[in-house]
Amino acid sequence: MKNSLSITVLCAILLYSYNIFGQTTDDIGLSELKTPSSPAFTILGVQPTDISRPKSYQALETSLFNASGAGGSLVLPNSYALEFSPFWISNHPDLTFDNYVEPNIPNSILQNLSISIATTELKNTTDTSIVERKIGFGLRTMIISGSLPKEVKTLVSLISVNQLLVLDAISPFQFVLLNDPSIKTREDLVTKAQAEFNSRKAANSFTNPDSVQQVINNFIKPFLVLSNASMHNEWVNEINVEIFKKLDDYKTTKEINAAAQKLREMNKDYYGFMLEFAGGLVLDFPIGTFDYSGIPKYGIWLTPTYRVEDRSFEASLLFRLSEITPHDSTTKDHSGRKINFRK
Amino acid sequence: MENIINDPTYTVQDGTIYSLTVIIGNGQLGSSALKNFDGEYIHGAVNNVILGDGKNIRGKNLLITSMVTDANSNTNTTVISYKLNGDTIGPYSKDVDTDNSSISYTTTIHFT
Repeated sequence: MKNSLSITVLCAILLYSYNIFGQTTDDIGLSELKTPSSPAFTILGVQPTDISRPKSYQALETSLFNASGAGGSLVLPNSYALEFSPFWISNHPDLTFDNYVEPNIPNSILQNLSISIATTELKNTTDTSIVERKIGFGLRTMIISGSLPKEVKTLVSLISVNQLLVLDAISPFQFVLLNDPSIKTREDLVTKAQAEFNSRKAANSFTNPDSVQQVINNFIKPFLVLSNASMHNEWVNEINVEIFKKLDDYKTTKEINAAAQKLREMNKDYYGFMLEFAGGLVLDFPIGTFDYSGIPKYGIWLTPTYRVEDRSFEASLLFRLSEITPHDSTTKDHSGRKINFRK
Repeated sequence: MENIINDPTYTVQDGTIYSLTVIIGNGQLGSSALKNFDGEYIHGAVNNVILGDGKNIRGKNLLITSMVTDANSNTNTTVISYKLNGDTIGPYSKDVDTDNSSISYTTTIHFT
């Protein structure tokens, strides 16, 4: 086992050395042997500080409109940076949590697709009166996402249990108000909602009825005591609107929020085999107009990674293909392979 | 937390048995609760819950309460829809105010 590991590490070092010494280092830095998070920015060689990240069609339109110049005319903006995920700028009503966290390959590609665009300008090296403009286009996605961390099930269970605690407690109040328009007083509402809860409890509808009763006693009843409602529609408003505003401060809701935050961060913790793809190109306008352009540089990155379940060890192999065509028409080809070990 | 209230109407046919599925979309995490017309309380995931024959549920109201939590780092939008046999009621959507927080949906379907 030890010998095997040593040989693998040696291979990694050799491949790594090949990349360092085998490439033309004046054009491509070692940093480009990493899969770029935003390929457009990387291939264009810019590090924008102000990046537009729209999360809706409207926001995307606004970003593009603001960048396009006065009156919506087609003007290439300087130092513009845009990054967005096309899949997530619209709703997906049928995409369940289970399908989201364990996507098949087509869905993984779509869900993880990120598009980046950046522009920059610089003075032409031969004629400084000419402003040369460049646009970088890039995309990145995860073809194979790996396996779902086991902690996800625990967090999902925690969120679901707490969501049901709230729903089981509030639902009897909503139910009696919907079905009994004669309810006008707090005492009547509480009595009838408690009776509804008790009937559900008698039918063994709850996993933990005592916890639900605690939510009723410690949250709903104290809230109702402070209300001045005296009409049926006012109690409906209290139960369907006002009480939900107070829920944000309730401990059960806070537990849901905390678990959801961990869940949202879980996408960094997938394990097993993963395959990531990125690509980008630069579109060059050497005399600053749309009449004359070229593609002086492009790059493709493919990164298979294997991560063990406890995340104590990770190995990744990087394949990179890129081409740079300077203005003197000299073509240089670059390709690279790299193995990373993280322990 | 915001509670989104909807009161859709759904026309039923005599002789057709209706079942309800609540779908929480956008990869978010949600639970629902309802009491069906047989008096049975159902909570958690609502999948193909039998509501009854159209002639028996016409004129009745079904209250469904759901809580959807923002568990998806790619979007803050929650979305919910209700499938009755092949028909869809909704989708209804709302953005959470802050990451990781929740939106409640209270929907009363009026069967006509």
